[in-house]
Amino acid sequence: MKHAREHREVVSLLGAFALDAVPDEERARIDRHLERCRLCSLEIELHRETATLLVSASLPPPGALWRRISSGLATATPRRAG
Amino acid sequence: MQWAPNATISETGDATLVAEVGRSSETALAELYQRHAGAVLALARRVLGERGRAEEVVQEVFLRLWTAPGKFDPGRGSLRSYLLAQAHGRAVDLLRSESARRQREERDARAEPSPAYDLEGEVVELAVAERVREAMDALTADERRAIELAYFGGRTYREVAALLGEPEGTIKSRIRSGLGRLRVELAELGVAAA
Repeated sequence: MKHAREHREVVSLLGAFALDAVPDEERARIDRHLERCRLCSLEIELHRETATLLVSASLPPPGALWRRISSGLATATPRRAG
Repeated sequence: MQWAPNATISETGDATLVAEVGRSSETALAELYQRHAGAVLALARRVLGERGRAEEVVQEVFLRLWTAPGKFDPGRGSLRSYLLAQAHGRAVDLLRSESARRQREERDARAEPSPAYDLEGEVVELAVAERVREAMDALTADERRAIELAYFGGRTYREVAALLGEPEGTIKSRIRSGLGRLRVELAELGVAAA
């Protein structure tokens, strides 16, 4: 019963949550709900995929930026198994 | 091994490349950068309004993919969507920090009221762009505006409500219904996320 009420409250925020448009003080409650609710998690994934289509993919990624990233990889690498 | 470097890397799927990143393949990370960094940069730049900090966000996102590739779960959406969500969250955090807030307020004070939704220059994969525009046309102007202010403006739904002089509940619903309708329209037009 508690889940059902919480679900109703959270559902209305799912679009805003997917766009990072929920204030911090409300975010924690939604995060907790998402850990238990596959339906709400799925809806957020769908909203994010939709938002992804609104973003330009046209700019070629800058080579200079890749060189900066690449040069930082050695120090950024955590210990890995194998 | 599912892929042979150089020979077939451009045909290798994102998820396989992420697995290779997990085995410390810089070649795989470079290919993923080629595929997605342009979009990640475009989004960060749109939210933050300037290139320097946007590039820092891109750097953080790809370093995180390098150090923690297991955070990406291919069963929960595309890599593009995952990377953009990471970048968006980080950009919004920066934007909401105190100094950034001041800058934005100064900028807003100088600016004209925001222009109407404009996809020009935002979606340039041309075959897709026309359909995305068509799908956006299916939304109400209010829905488009709420989505734009939240996603590209980095504002909370409460800030959007205050800005537009509308109840918070109305804005929440508009964002959710707008995104839902957009998804349906795009699917009908044959556009699906990668």
